[in-house]
Amino acid sequence: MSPLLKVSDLHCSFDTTRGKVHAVRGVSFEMQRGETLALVGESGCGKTTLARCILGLQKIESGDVMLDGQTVSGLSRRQLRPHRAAMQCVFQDPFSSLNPRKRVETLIREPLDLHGVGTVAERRKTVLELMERVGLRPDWSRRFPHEFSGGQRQRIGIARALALRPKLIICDEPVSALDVSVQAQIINLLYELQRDFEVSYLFITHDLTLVENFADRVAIMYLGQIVEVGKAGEIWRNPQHEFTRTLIEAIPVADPNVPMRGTRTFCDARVTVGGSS
Amino acid sequence: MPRLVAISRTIFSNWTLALGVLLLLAIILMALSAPYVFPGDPYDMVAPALTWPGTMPEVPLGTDSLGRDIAAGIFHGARVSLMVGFIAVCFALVIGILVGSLAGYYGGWVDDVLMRVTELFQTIPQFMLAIVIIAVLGTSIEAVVMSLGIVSWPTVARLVRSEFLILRERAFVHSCLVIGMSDLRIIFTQILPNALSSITVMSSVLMATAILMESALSFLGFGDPNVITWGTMIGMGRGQIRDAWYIIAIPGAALLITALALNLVGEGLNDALNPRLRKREV
Amino acid sequence: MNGTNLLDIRDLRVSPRGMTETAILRGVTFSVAPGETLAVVGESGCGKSMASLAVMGLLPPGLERRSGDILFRGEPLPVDDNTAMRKVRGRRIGMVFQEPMAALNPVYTIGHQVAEVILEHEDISAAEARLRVVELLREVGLPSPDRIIDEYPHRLSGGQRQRVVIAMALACKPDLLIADEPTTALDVTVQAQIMRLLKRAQNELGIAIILITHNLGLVAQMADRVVVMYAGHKVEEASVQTLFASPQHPYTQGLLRATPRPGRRRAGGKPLEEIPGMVPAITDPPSGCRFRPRCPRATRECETVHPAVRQVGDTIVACHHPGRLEAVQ
Repeated sequence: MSPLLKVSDLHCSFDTTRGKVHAVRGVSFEMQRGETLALVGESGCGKTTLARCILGLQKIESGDVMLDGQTVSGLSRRQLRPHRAAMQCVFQDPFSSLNPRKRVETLIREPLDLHGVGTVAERRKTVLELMERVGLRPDWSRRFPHEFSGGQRQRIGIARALALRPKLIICDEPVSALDVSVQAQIINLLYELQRDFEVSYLFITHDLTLVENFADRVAIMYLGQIVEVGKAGEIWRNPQHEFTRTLIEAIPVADPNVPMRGTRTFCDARVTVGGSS
Repeated sequence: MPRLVAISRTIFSNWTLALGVLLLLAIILMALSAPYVFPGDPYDMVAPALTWPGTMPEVPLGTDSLGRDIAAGIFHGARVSLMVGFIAVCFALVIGILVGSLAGYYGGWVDDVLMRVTELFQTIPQFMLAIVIIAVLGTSIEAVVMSLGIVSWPTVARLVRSEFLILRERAFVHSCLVIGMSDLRIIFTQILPNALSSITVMSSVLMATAILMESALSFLGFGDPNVITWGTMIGMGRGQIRDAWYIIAIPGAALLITALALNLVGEGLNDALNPRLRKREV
Repeated sequence: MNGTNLLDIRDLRVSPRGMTETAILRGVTFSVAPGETLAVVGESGCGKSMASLAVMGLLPPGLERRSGDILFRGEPLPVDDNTAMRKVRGRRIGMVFQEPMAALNPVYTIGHQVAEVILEHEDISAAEARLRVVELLREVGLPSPDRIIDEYPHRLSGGQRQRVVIAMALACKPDLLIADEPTTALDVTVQAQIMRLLKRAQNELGIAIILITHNLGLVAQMADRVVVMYAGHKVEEASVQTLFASPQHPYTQGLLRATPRPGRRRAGGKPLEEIPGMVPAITDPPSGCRFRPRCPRATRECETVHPAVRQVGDTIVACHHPGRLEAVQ
């Protein structure tokens, strides 16, 4: 059986006001069904661009993206549409990722409407079931996004992503805008939903500690390349790449008996004054 | 009904908006009641020429040099002013939203082409362009509306484009792309509703400008000679400005109040619709 | 409270203007000793930033201090007198914010902005000030300070900008530095560097630091004492060792358990421990204890009586049922 997602030698660059940025430089990886792969990296390492490439929101320069054995890279919007249902996304900012003018019910139903899933009555029912499943009270369905807290909005976003029963959900920093206690709620919710919906997560984050307990495998990304892939616990115990070691040492441990580390200055070399070299 | 209550509460919690809406309602009422209050032709002579306001109960606002009732002119003129302003703005909105949203959403060469065209219209002085269009189309009320619409749409297009440039980068637009929504649907059902508040605010100010321009055109004799407008009245009274200044002052005041009302509505809507100023329900 | 404290905040209450019933801060009391690091921990909306803004006399418009004293070296701070506070800000108390770009003016060079702080408080020539700025930039670890001094903020990386802001805060050798989420916008590798810089500055200058953060990892690494805040209240205060070893308040315990611990993978079950529910809105707080709706130990008493702050062992805690947690793991 082919892997659920196969990315081979993906390159992507785009023009900015400061010149051409080669954001993704030859990334290859595979994901199996039901797996959670965490993609960890610092700001500007290309992890979000990579996600946008896989979702078809960003034009790729070369390389292939195969979803469920079918090539989805290089397709036009229209050609991509039938594949949309299999691949969804949960966005970082729960305040801007929901259209402020739409009611919760509409937001969750929109994907069903677009893909013509079931009758109108069935879609309504599905929306209420999804709301219940992600921990939202179904009688809130007529409310607008601004009436919800950040964590609740992220639940709405998750329900919307789940509506089409995708095989893969790309989670782009889904909890980095949330408080610690709410973060845990959302991570746990994603974990539970994975079993019920048999979905795979490509979980993009800057926080290695967060995915340690959650992901099956972790890929470390640095300067547009994946520098290390391994089992979640394995990476922490035995990092191979110099950058991974720097990253792990820099993470403050929530234990006052562990002395402060992070004496390496691996990243200083990357940014110099002016930065426009 | 609760929605109506909510709307009126918003209006009256904001005095600029409340005053603007009240003035505007009064003007609309004048326009609507004109055929009943003054059933005859406002161009008819009804009293001795140059009757000062307040001297004859039959013509409370006096008469002009041909003995025409100024009050009747004001009421009937309100119809024309509002209608011309409203239709011209609608015309400008249709073109402006279409051009602005396509340019802002697609960017790239679409944006370049559409914006160059828009700039072409903007570099020609608005009033000159309006006169040229009327000169080509002839002095009819339709031509006036058309010319005002043509000179107004670039403003709308630029505003809509700038709103779209910001909104298209918001994550909810990406979210719609990911579920497979088509571009047109994203433009009109997702982004446009979010830009509506600023479009509404601008429309009221645009309408005030259109009404003033219509008056200016009529004053210069480019208006439709068959319908009475405030501009026509001012134009016809300008010979008597020394001895019967009221002939100009009364329609002038009507214009001023209308423009003021629309600007107040615009400013009030800006405060009421601006989400940054609106208290967020937590 | 004794006279040796650098900063004393007593029973501070901050409310939206004209709303006496709602409060952002309700009777918050804590103090900072010279040279120590106090961490103020809590989630968004708990009021942790408001306390420091109140100290600086920089409460956002629409909020006002309704009661409470703020003493600096035993003297009341003139927080309502903007002119008097300008002599305190920068000179006695420095401040570092979350977003370094917001603290820097994009149209002036780095050197200009750092020198401005020095010239505001000290009577020295521009040339002397420039030398001081170069020295400061070197001290905060910026490479080639004589070049950076003439750069504009947008040419620097986020971490470098935050170093400049720290240089500005340290320019007049203040007694107290308030750092409000100083590394939340930065990468974790840069965060480690900034934290080391703050530690070093503290050791060399003997300044006290108030570190406002939501990151318990940073608290463990940086703080001497910790104040935990929830919904406008101080719920727990203890030394960092005591707090992490035996947290007393159920909220503190919940926060510690919800924090992902690297290298300690849980076997089976949910990936993380969670605190159910969410932070209450300040306009609609629950009766009694603010944490009651989310608390596993809530009783009838918690519903009616707001728990007073009291001493339990080495910890100051506001809870009717404080107690050791069986096991954090």
